[in-house]
Amino acid sequence: MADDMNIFIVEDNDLDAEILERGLRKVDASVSLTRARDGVEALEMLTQDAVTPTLPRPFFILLDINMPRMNGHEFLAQVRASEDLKDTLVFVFTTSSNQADIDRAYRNNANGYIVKPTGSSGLDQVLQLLNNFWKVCEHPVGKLSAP
Amino acid sequence: MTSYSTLSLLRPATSIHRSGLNLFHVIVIALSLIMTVSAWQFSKYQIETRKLARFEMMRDRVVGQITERMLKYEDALWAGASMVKSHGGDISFTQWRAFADHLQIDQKYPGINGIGVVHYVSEAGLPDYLDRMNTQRPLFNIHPTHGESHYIPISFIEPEEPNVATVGLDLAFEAKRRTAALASRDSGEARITGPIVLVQDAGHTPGFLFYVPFYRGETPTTLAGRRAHAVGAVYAPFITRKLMAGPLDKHLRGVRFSITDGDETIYDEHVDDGDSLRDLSPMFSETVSIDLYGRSWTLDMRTNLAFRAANTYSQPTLIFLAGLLIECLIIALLLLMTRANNHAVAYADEVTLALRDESKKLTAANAALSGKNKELEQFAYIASHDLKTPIRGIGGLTEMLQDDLEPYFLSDDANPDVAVNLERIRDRVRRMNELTGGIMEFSRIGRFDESSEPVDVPGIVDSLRSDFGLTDDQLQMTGSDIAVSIDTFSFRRVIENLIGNAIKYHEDRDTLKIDVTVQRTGNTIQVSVSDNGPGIAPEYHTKIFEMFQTLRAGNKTDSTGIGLAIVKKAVERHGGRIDVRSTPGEGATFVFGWPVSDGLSSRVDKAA
Repeated sequence: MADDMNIFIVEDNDLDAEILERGLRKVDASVSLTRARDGVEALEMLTQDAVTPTLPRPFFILLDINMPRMNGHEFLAQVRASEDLKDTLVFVFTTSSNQADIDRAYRNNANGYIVKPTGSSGLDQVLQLLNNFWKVCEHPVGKLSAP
Repeated sequence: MTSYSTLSLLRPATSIHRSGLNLFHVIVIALSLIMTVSAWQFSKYQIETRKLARFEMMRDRVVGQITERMLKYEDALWAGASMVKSHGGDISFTQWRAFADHLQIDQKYPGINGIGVVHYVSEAGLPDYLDRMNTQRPLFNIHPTHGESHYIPISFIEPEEPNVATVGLDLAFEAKRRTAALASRDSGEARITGPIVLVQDAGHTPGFLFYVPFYRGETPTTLAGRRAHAVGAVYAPFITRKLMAGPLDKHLRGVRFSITDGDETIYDEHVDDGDSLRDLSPMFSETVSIDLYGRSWTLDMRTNLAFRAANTYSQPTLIFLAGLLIECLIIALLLLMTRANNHAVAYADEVTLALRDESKKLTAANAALSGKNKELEQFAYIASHDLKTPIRGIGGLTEMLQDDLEPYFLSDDANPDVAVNLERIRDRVRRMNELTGGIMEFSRIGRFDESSEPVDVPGIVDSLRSDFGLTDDQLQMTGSDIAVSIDTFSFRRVIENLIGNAIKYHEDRDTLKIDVTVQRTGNTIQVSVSDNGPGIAPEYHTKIFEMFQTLRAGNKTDSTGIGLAIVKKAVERHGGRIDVRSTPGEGATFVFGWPVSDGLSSRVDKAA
């Protein structure tokens, strides 16, 4: 079953978020996009969603690393430590190509690590691949998190 | 300087710095002092011994001369006795005079007053004796009268004139003269009297008589026989003073002496008689006993001033004084040396202190510099990192504008400059991205712990070939496989940068050829990357490794001028060095050595 792509984006940079959104629109107009501005806000939203689900399902998270209040690594660690959220699909999506960041992300069980492409063509390509990938994957029913 | 090293060996560790004379100096001084005193004492002892020997020689000479002289007189007396004997035991006045004249007493025997004959006459024989004498000399008589029952009258004495008072003198009148005369008769030997004053000596100085007996017929062997046959004795009166004339004259001697017989002094040179050479505290003195013809003479010998003058030596004193002088010089020298040493040590301390100060300042300055350097790198890193986001934003916005203006660009009245300029903005953004990325990488080198993993050089070259889209011919690798663990990430980045440069500056990609050679020599991996590009003029061989240096005009190539700076920094950070060899038009070869950081050395590197 080919589900629509539902993305929960954790990104503090408005411009980046807008560029991403524009790119997604070009790839697939039916994509739904929800945004949190940092780790703290994202965690609140997800915790709330676990109680009363409001996010469209199934979804995955595109996670920036350098953010105020709570950065991506800290957020990911919290998610994996949470009984309710630990199954969430998380792709790190960041400008950092630093090996230390990459290693740390995978240690926290990131589902993928993508360095943000610099140009729009690169972004389009990445988003297209993500969309295709999403489409070929099977997804769990209902709540993403384990019972 | 060598003596100093010896000194420092002997010097106790505690006194290495400021000190006065140390133990070694004291030993040196003590030793030389001992040597001086020893030499002084030895010289003194030698001279004492020599002086004593001289004194003993003089003493023996005096004793020998006295004995010899007495022997000579004894011989004369024995000659007289023999003469009498040869006349059958009796002799006439004229015969004796002839004999005495013949002896030449005043020349040959200066010590005696004369030589005469006495007769042993018994009471019963006196008239007969007087008759016999009176036939020769009518006026002869004996005198003085005494209570003895026998007589020992002097019958003849030659020369008679000075001795006229003694002719007929009966020697039995006085104990000393009588005793010695009888002792001579009884023993058959020469005898002398104890100290007497000669009757004929107007000066009344001490003297003695010397007797030699003669007998009727052969000299009897028994005492009774000698008493029975004794006729008389040849005798000589001595004035002791005269005896010492001639070779025994006191002016020829370095010693003065006195002679005592029993309690009586018969000769004395120690009295204050104006002898200018008398030494009141003689250097040597000794008493010697001589047994002479029945008497025992005691000689009291003392050296005089002449001896003192001849035996006063300044040598030991000179040695001692010279020794002391040398001693003073040694002490002065040691003090000077010590002072010089102290000065040197003080100066060295000063210099050391100054150096330590300087070194402290330098260390502090170094630390400050190092801190500043780190700060700068940190700043560069953060600045480029933080610039990335707005640059990306500009790029993104530009693309958004391009997207949104798509319909306008397609319209007929579109200004073509807008599309071109938007593209130029994006180009500049791309360059800016490269710059910030390069600066970040440069400032990140060495800031993080580097991993150490087994290196796979052919694998690296293969992956780079595919990354850069090159063929096997364009990028070739030769060299042995190297199985060591190194900071593979940085190593790969260096090769990547060099290959990237070779591609970037090559005019024609189709003819591009890059050779990578790798080999291990000792603890270093030697890598060379050669290309067949345009080459680099020698004057740029150093410059190309500097930051932001590129050999092309800024707008002509997308070179940031950071790549080789990153390469150099990475190689040097790992303890290697990089060089370029190139002739313009013949390509360039970059060669670098990459030390194999096995356990210990890598830890040292990190600690540093």
